[in-house]
Amino acid sequence: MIIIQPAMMMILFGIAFGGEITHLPIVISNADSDNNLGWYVTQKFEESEVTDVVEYVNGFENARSLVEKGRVKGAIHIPSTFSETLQESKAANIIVIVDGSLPQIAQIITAEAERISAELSEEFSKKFAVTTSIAVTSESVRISTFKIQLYGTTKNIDAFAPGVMGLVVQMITTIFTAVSLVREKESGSIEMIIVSPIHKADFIVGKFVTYMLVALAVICNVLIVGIGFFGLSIRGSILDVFLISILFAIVCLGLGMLVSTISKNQLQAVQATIIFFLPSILFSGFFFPIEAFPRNISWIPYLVPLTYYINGCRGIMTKGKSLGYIYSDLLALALFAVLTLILSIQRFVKKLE
Amino acid sequence: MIKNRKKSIRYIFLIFFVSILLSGYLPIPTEAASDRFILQESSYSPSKVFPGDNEIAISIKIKNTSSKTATDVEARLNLPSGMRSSYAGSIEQYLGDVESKQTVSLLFYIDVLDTSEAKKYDLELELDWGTGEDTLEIPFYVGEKVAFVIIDTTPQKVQSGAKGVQVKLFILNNSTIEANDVMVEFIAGNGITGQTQDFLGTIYANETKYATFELDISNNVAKGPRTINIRMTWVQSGKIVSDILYLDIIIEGPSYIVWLIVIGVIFVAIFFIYTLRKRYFEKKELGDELEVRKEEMTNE
Repeated sequence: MIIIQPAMMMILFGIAFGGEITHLPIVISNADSDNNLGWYVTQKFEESEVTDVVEYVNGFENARSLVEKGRVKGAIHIPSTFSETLQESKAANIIVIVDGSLPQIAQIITAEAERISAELSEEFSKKFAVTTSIAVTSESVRISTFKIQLYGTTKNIDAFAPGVMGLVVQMITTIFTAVSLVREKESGSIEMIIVSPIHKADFIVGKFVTYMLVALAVICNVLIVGIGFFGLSIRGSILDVFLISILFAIVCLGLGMLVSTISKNQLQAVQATIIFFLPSILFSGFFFPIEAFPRNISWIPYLVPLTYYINGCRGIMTKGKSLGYIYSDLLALALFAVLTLILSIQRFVKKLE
Repeated sequence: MIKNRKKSIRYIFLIFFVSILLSGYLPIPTEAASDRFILQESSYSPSKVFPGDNEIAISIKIKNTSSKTATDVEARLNLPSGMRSSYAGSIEQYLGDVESKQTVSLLFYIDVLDTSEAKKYDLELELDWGTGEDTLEIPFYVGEKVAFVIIDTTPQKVQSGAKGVQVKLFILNNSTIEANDVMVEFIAGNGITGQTQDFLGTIYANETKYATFELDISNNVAKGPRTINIRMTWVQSGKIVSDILYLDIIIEGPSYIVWLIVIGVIFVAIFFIYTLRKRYFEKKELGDELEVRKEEMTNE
C-alpha cells in the first residue's frame, strides 16, 4: 500500500491534469441574414482546438437555453446584422454566452472568442482594403464580443464550496463509519452486540443514523463558516442543499460500511478510504473541470459520486436552480446510494452472521 | 471736324484721369461667390449620422475657379444649433494661398448633440481671404435615432445581501424605426454583480421587450435610491449605435429571513451535537455494562 498508493496518485494526477483545457463543447447560432461573412466566424470556431462545435441551432434563445441546461459550455450567436454592419461601418459584434458557474471554462471560451474576433478583424481589414495603382488603403475593421455570462461572475469561494462540502462529508462519514465498525470488530464489542438482544437491522440503522447526523452537522458547519465569514452565496434553496447532501451522505455511509467489510484493522480501513478519496479529489471536477480530461479517461468522472454532488450543488448554490433542474445528478446519487447500501449491508450482515 | 475730334479726345482723357483719381476712393466690387470658390465634393464619416454622434469627420474639396490667386484663405464651418466643434479649432482651417484652378481639401470634426433634430442641415463653409469672402453650403443629414424608454421595472426595490435577484426591465422603442440586435447592459458598478447583460434581438417601432438580469447585491452596497446606467447598443441602418438610459432603483436593508435561516441552522447544529454527545455517553454506559457482564461471564 505504501508503495502503490503514492505511485497511483501520481499516475492519476499526471493523466488527469497533464493537458490543457481543450475541446469544450459549444453551439453556434448563425442569424446573419446575408450568411456571408458570418460564415467566417463559424469556420474559425470549427477550426479552434479550444472549442468543439457540437451543434448549430436556430436563434439566440435556443443557444442560451442549451448553455443554461448545461448541455454545452458556451454558445456563439452571430447577429442578423453581422455582415451588414461589417460592410457598412466596418464594425460588428458577436455574442458569446457562457456559464458563469464554471468560471475557468467561461474565461477560456471568452478568451478564445476574443482571439478569434481579433484575428477576424485583421483578416477583414485586409479583405476590405482597397488596392489602387498607387497604394493599398486599408480599412480598420473591429469585431467585438458582447459577453453574456449566465449567473454572473462566480467568486472562488462559490465555485469551490460545493467541492469542499462534498469532500468534508465524504471524508468524515466514510472514515468514521469504516473505522468505527472495524474498531468494534477489533475490540470484540461487535460480538457483544451479536449476542445482545439488539437486532442486526437496528444496529445498522443506529450506525447509519448517527453518522448521517454527523454528516448534517458537518454540512451546517461548512455553510455557517462559508456564509458567515466568507460571504458564500447560495442562490437556491438551502433546504435543497441539505437534501442533496443527505443523499450524498447515504452514498458515503454505504462506502464506509463497504470499506469496513473489507478491512481487517483500522489502519487498513483508513487506507482503503483514501483509495476512494483520491479519485474523488482528482476526477470530480473539484479542482479541474472534467471537460479538460483527456478523451480516453473522460468517462472516469462519471464513476465518482462526488462529481454528481458537486454538479448538483453548483446547480442549486451558484445557479439558483431547484431540484427539478438537477434531477439527473440526484438520480445518479440515488443509484450509487442503492448500490453501495445493498452491497455493504449484504457483506456486513454476512460478516455479522 | 478736327476741332470736335480734339474736344472728344480731351473729354476721353479727362474722364480717364478723373476715373483714375476717383479709383482710390471708390470700392472695387469683389467677385461674386460663385465666381471664385466652388464646392467640388463633400462627404462625412461615418456616412450615417445620428444625434449623439461625436467626432464626425467632414471632408470638403473646394476649387478656386477664378483666374487669380486667393491669398491667406481662412475656412470656417459655421454650425447650426445642436452641433458643436469636437475640439478647439476643429471647425477652422487656414489654407494659405490658393492659386487659380487649384483644388484644396478641408477636414473638420464636429459633434452632433443628443438634442439635435433629425433632418437635413446646410452647414455654412465660410471662406475669407484678403480681398473677399465666399460662403458655400455643405449638405449634412442627421438621421432619426431609435429612442428607448424604460417603461417599467420589476422589482423596483432590491435588498442588500440578496442573491440571484431577477430584475426585469421593460424597454419601449419610442421611435418610428426598428432597432436590430439590441444588447442591454446593466452598469451597476461596485456592489451589484451577477448576470448584467442581455440580448433582445430586434425591437420594432413602438414595441416593448424586456431584458432580464440576475443580480447579486452585496451587503455593503449603500442603501437608499440609486440611479443605474443602462447601456443600450443596437444596429440601425448598418451602424452600431449606443445610448445610455437611467434606471432608478431602491436598495433596502437585508432581509431578516436570511438571518433567521442562519440562526435556525446554528440551532439545528447545536441540537445535533447535543444529541450525539448524549448518545455517546449512553453508548459508553452500555459498553461499560457489557464489559461488566463479559467479565461476569468469564468469571462464571
